[in-house]
Amino acid sequence: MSNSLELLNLRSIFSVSNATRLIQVAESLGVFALLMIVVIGASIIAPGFFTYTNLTNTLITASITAVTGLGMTFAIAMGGFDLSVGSIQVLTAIVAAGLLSIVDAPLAILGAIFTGLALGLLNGALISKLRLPAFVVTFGMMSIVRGIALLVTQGQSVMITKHIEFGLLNNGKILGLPVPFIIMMLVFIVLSLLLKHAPFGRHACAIGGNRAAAIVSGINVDRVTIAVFGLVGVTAAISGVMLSSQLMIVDATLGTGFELQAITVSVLGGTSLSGGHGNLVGTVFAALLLATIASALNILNVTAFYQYLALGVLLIFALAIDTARRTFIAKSLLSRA
Amino acid sequence: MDLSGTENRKLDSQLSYGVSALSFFTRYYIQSLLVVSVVILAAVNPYFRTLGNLENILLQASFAGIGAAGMTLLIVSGAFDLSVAGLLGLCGVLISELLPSLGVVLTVLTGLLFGLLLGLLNGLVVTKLRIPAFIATLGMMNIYLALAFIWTQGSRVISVEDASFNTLGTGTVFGVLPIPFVIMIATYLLCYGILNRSVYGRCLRAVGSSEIAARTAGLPVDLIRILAFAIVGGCTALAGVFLTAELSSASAIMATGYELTVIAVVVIGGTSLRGGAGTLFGSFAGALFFAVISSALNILNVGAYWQYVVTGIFLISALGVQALRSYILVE
Amino acid sequence: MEEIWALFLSRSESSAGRPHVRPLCHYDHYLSCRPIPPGSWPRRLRLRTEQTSYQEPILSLTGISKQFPGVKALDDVDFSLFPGEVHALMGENGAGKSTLINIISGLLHPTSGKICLAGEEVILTSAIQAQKVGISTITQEFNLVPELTVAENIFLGREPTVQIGLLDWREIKRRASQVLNELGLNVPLGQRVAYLSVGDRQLVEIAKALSMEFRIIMMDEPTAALNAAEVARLFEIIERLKQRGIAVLYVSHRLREIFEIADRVTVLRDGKRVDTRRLDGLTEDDVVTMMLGRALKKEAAVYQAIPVTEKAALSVKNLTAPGFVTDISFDLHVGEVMGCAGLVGSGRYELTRALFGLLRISGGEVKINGRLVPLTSSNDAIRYGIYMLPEERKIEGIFPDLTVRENLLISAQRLFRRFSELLINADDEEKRYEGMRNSLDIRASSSGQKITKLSGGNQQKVMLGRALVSNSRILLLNEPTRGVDVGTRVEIHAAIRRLAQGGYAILVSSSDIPELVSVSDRCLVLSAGRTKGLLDRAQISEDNITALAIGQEITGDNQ
Repeated sequence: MSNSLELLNLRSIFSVSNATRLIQVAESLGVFALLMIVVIGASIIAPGFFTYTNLTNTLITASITAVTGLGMTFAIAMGGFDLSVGSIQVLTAIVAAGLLSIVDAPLAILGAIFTGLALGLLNGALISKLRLPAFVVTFGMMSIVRGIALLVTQGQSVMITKHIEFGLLNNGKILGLPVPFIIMMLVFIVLSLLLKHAPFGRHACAIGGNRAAAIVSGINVDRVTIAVFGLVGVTAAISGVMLSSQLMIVDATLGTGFELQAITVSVLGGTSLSGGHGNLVGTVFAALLLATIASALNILNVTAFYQYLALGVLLIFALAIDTARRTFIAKSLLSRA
Repeated sequence: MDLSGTENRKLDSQLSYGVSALSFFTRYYIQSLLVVSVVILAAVNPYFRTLGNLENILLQASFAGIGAAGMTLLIVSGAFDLSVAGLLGLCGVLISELLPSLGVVLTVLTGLLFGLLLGLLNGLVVTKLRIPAFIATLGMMNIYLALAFIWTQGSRVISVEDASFNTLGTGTVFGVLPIPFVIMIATYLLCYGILNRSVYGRCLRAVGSSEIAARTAGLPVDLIRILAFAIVGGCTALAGVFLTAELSSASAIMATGYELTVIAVVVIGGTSLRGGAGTLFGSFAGALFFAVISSALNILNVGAYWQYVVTGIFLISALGVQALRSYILVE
Repeated sequence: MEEIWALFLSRSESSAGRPHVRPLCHYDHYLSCRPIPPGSWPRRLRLRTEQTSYQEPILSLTGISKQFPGVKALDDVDFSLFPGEVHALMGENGAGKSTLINIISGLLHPTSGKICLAGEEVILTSAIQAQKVGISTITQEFNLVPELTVAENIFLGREPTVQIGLLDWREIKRRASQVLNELGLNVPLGQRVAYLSVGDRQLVEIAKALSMEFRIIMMDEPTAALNAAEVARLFEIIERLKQRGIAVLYVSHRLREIFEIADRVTVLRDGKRVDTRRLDGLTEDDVVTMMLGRALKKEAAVYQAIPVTEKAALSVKNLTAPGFVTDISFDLHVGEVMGCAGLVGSGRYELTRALFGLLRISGGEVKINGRLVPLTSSNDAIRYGIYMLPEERKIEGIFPDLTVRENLLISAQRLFRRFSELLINADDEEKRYEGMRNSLDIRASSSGQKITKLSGGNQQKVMLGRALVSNSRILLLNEPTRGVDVGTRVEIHAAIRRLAQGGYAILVSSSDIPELVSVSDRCLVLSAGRTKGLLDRAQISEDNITALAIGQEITGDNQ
């Protein structure tokens, strides 16, 4: 039996060829470099960017996106994706806000997370057991959950008046860092362990990389699919809780376009849509990048809608690079043969 | 296994009757559902029966319906376009801006051309950059929405004053059929002709049936795909013309959720998402069905929010029916 | 069977002297190629160590038959495999090899017969279950996940874990290293499989099989994609597998390799087992005789370049498609039918794909009617007058959602070439369909029937018809009569010859050697991506083609 403490030492203990290492590092480094450039650029161009308050806010925004992005990365690694995360986020935010008028914060949070888990498991079940395509199922769920959110609130806002210590989830600081950021790091650590160091994560990647091989190896594809979508639901719920803590007043129109953000940060972070592997570090960097751009644009008083534009263009750009990278690898392998 | 004896043969023919009945209903299930729901609602609710209401249903159906005609063709070729909400908004804004200076006819033509061009852009992004269609168009949607927002400097709504233009949305033919509905019929006839009677339509179905085989057979797959996207853009722009006329205004978010409705209409109409075969008749009935349902929800005073839930449920269950159908065919 | 062969074979009954087989080099010293001194034929290149005791078979099949609708693929086959032996399975295409392998690996169920594993009867229900009882199959499509590392792939599905549920990397590393060391494989464990060469991937598959303690490993054409060095390494590993008492079932066309590595060989012909013999004392000719049912007669062949008297319709010079074919040159004339022969992995199909614009060409030039043409897409190729019939009609041939008529006429006109051709002219098309239906005798209830309802042979006829109505004068036909019954096959061959006379230039690429013999004016033979030989009319015979394709050199006085 090995010492578990030794295992938590994430230093790689295998020898890896130079080329591979270079590529893997370049993947993470690419977004990081971009992030650094944007941060430096923003500090120069936008006065007031590099203030404590602004950095805190940016970090908080990034964390909310990153949490769901990390879950989405997991799903993409398995070869699927979830278009309903935006709706799940808003519904769980409403659930949390609503529950706070009845119970105290921990139970409200638990209730919200449980809602997200249930919805995620439902997605997974429809996709795997009924063999329905992920895209349309989550597309439909997106609509259904949004409708439920609207029905529950009847179009009204839900304000958090009791148990306002709930706001500490957003405003509190641990070791000088905002709590949302800490939450995001925790999610990151847990998901990293799951994805890279647990059989569950390896199986998910196997399904995304070569589904036939996964089946032949005896992996229970259905079970893994349902679990992964449940995981995505949970991360969306965590984002929802963080969102409601940030705004303290939620309504059912929030979170539109959130699924696009989550997919964008995953792909921008280096996770390929073809599945098989997930770059969690890259996702975090990409979320920071997106938040930085939004923050800088805000300070420069650029219309919010340019952010939409940036998001769309960035997504297409990231995807084009992903395709180019895959073609390049395929071609270079062929010429080696 | 050797089946012999009259016993087995009788069982066989009973089974085949059941199978063919089930097959018929799953094939025409949206049409059956439409007829059944109209009959039930008309019987139950007096207001539903009024001519005004029926006219309204036809009008409302045509907005999603016209877009669904083009989307059916695209889905048959194996791709999706999720950008239509933004595309429509952008076209609507353009039309409302140009109307004062260009007059009705020229504006409409320009709007259609613009829609075609945007569709072409979608097609280029998907084929030349080789990005999966649904994600590429998701990104393009953001871009179109953003452009529309920027143009209108926020959700400013542009009002359309031109009376002759507005009759496009409110006028009727033969006193009963709304103009948009008549155009919808024309669009469907045109698309039916393209899909089933033209060489291009055959190429569309071939590409959707097996892209590899299409390339091996020498078909210009990229060109075929790009044109399909352009058709969707054109149809969406056409729907945008009528929506702008009916609302007498245009804004960036005038068509939020449009892509969901259009794709739901196509799927519920029976067109398979795998591509290769499609039914325009089904999409037509699907558009009418959704209009009937939303009218019913309104009349029965059920909140508009139920629309979202209902659309999603119908979408997923339509998939279930398709899965059931292919399961039956295999048996 | 014999009669039909007699019809088409142009046998020259010259008696050749005992052919001289020249192997590549002594594989033990693949780093320095040392040729074997002549006169040492026949002998095996290496002293094989006998590891098996031939006591108790690990696998035995008795009376296995497999009936498909219309054809009996296997007829009462008995087969046994002993631990520690390398057992080769040989036979021509259609002899039943793949069916037998599929039955053993659990993918197919025998219509009758018994399978016993280590003396106990088993019923193999699925591939996974076959794996569970210890049978591993290594095929061309590897069951590896490219994005995962070597170590992760080896233990996929059975990863060792520690208490909290995380992977036990130390254990994984230990056991993986152990297995890889046994195989002598020097691949970093943390390397993603996607970045490995084909040969290395295959070895990872073998390592996976080893780590699961399989008792039987079946390899189906394992050397098809390997270079000489990798083949030598593979053989050393097979030796080590033998030492561990694992039984290896080795399926291959390549005679020379069989003689290097196998202990016994079983030959199938027409679904029946011809014989199972120890390879000691056998000659290559003996094995081929068992495969074909008669002796292989080779003639002294003298290669002659065909004097180019007229402009070639298709002129190919030094064509290279990286990874598939290298330096191919030939000319195809109007009125000529050229055959193209070669085994799995010879690049036959890829050559036609490259000429049709579907495969990237990195070197050489292609001229059509004297004009240099760039072939970058299939659309281009059609514009210049070439059309290709694909090999696998199920994957890349038919359009399952379209009707018979539509499948037939899909390539008949180029899209948007003429304004008048935008709409479908139903009568015109119906006439063309009828014409083709008559010439090829396509059995379909109507032109509007879905193509998936047709039998395989009829689908093939539709595919052939598609090529014929494509208005291209240069046809590249891959396996034109696959799945077609004998009678129609003759008609199709006649039709091909008639077309050639009518002004077409046709290249027929086929794994069916009698077909090539019956239909070709000249025959190109490929092996491992290169031209092995170009036979002219007089030299074309089944034996010559087979010999070249297998890799034997045909020598004559000039060598």
